[in-house]
Amino acid sequence: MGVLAYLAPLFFQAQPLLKRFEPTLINFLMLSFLLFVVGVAGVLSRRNIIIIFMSIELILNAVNLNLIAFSRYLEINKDTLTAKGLAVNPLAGPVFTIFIIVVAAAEAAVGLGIVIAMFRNRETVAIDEIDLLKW
Amino acid sequence: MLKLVWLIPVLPLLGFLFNFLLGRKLRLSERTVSIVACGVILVSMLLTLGAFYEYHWSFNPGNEDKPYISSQDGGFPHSFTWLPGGAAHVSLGQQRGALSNFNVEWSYQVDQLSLVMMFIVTFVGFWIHVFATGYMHGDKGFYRFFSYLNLFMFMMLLLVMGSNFMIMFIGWEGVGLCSYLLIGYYFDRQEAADASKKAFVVNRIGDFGMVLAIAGVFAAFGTLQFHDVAILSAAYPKEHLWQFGLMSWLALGLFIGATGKSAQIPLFIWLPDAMAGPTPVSALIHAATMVTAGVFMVTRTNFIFQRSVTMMMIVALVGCLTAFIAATIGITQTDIKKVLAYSTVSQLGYMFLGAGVGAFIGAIFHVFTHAFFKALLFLGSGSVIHGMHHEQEMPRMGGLSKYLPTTYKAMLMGWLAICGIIPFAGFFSKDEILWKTFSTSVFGGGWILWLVGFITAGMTAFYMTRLMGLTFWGEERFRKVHAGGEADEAHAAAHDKNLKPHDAAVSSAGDRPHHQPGEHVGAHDTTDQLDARGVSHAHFEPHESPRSMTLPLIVLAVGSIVVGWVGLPGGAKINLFERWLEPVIVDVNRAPVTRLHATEAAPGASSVTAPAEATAGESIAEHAEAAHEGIGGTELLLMVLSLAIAFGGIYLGRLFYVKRPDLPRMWAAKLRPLYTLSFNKWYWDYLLDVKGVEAEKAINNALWDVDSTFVDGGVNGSAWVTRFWSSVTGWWDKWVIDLAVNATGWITRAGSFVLRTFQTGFWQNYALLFAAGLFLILLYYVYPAISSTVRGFSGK
Repeated sequence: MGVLAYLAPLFFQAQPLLKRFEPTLINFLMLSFLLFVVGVAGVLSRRNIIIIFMSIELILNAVNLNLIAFSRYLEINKDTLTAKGLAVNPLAGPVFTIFIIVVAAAEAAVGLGIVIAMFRNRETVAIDEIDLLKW
Repeated sequence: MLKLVWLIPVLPLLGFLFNFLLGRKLRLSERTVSIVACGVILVSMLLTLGAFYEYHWSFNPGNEDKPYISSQDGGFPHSFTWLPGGAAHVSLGQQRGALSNFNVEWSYQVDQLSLVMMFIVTFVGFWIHVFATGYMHGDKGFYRFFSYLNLFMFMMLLLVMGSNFMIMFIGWEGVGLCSYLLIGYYFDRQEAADASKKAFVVNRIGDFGMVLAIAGVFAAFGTLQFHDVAILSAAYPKEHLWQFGLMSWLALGLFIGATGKSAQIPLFIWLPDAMAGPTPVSALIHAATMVTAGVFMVTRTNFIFQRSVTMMMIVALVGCLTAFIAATIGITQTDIKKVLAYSTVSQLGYMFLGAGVGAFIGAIFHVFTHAFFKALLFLGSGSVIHGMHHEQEMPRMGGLSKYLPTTYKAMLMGWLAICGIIPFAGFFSKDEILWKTFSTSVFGGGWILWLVGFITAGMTAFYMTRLMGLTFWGEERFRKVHAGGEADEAHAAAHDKNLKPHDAAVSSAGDRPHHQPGEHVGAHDTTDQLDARGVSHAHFEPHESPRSMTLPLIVLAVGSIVVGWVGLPGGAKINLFERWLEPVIVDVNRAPVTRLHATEAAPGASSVTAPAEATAGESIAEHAEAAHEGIGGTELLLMVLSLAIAFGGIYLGRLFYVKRPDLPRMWAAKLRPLYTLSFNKWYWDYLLDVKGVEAEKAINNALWDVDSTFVDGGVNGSAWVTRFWSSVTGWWDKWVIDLAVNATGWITRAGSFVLRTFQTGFWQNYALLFAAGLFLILLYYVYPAISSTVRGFSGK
């Protein structure tokens, strides 16, 4: 129970604590960076082309997160930035995010079509067996 | 009949085509072949006689001795444009130049001269055809023989009937071809093949002169028609002795052709060898007709020859020398046909002697009589050869008059004719030539030529008597020295099998065998009746020839007696032959003005019909004087002398070869050098065939040396330089250019070896590098911030 006694104030004092750890821009960027790195690592290391696709989605979504985060940041600090003489358009980020999602969906459709066609021809989706470009 | 004149040569051509194309295919019998072959000649002969009749009796009087040229009737069979060279020339857009006139017409000319020749060719030719049906009986190539004979008749008729130089030349070459074919008729025998080649090649030498002369005639006159050339040549002056102008050159070319065809010095060597052909061929081609073509041609072109005194003298000299030399050779030959061959050469020499001294009519008259008696002698010798089972060596004959009575009697006529005994044909023609030679006005010194001709006449009588003596008179040597030889064996074998001798299976039974004098062939004597093969020869007897062979002999024997009577000496009144031929011979001594005038009415006409102009008066008077001349004292004396030397020759011949057969050997020993010279034919063949060939070989070797040293040296040198230079450039190529190229390749390879390791083909590798690069760049940009942050954390 001692432990509980030790944790209770934490629990009860959660609200101010949460307030204190409210994520800032840098947290989102870090998360985005991590997602990006995970995606890149997946693209570079996995053999299954489906997984690679998924990794690419991760990269794209990391970018989306980045865009949304900056958009939010600009929205909050609009007044400050305007006062400093910087033009701000917080809507550009979400718009581009929507573009990216649309393009990603189209790309996924095309990509999966290619994957299926390739599988039908070669009966594999392993990327290291598709080495026609090798000299 | 003049309108049918085109048929005369065409008929033998048809006969030739029939026999030649169908003879083998249809296996025509000898009867069919001979009927066709003789029939076409007979019809040609009849047409010739008809043409003679019409020309003389209805054409001639209205036309003042103008020749009938078949183009007068126009149209295809009579005449057509044969070589439209001018049309072709113009069609090429070339209007000018001599060639635009070059149109050769195919037409026939019938005049006094060609009628005589046509008669000789068809008449003698017909009887020789008849003779050949008997002589060639049983020969395998019967149809071939007769088709060649017919082809020969066609060509010969073209030669004498052609109205221009080109047709005459076609005939000229055509008879040469037929001569070649017929000499080489037994082509399986080496000597026949060689003889035919020799005849052909020697004739080519003559023909080159002929072709040049024809070209020259065209260049000079722009036409080739005899008739037109005769008119146009009147514009040229007479070239006197030692002048050598255009006319002389033309005449020289023509005469070179004549020496080849008519076997004159230096081209006579082919004629004796030509005896390798069957005997009817020797009679027809190499005695009666073809070899006289040269005389005919000289007479036909007398308008050219007469304008060059130099060439006339050359012709006379060549003829005279040929007559003499051939007669000397004829004295010692032992082959019966060789004797006759040299006799022919000698008589041809007489003809050219006559032509050379201006006695063209006499020359043609000699052609006419010679055709009869020489054809007779050849056919007679053929009959003897036939009767002797193809033996030709006179020392193996003798006493044949008993066995071949008809042949003997016929040969007697020919013998007397050629010896020049008075009522026979040869006397008149030979004597006319000799008299004209003696009294020639063309150039001086005719009596020297006469003397040579006179001595030759004596020699002629001697060697012909020798021929008769060795063949028909004296002891019967054939029993001792038997012929032997293939044909003989075959005949004997056939006899054993109760076959007729002519059924003997001998591949070429013509004039086999030719033996060297003294060569022992038979290997048997009278006591030895069986030879090694067990074939009996006891029955060997000469036999008389069949009817088909004796009949032509009889006809020609009669001819040899009577044909001379048309040319009795004593001027144009008595001498029918001279009167007949006179219009053909141009009188060059008349002034050109008269000539030109006369050409409008009758070119080539005799002075009798020419208009009497002041300039012509002299020659007419001269002619009238000649016509009334009759037989002068000198001429009579010469005739008596001729007769005397002929009888002398005959007496000597009989003495040597009949009465005292030991004399020839004795005299041959006494006159050894002369005998050897004559027996070896004056070494003409030796000089030409051996020395000439050797000299040519030496020349060719020298030329070869030049070739191998300079030409080949140049070629090889250039090759060597090329090779050397190419090896230099090859070295440069190999060690400099190729090295540079290869070095480029090696460098590229080495570089690529490194670079290749990056090119894995896995896109993920590329993406990894890409990402790594990206991170490195990122690191580079954000390094200051990171380091300051780290420093900040570390509490600085």
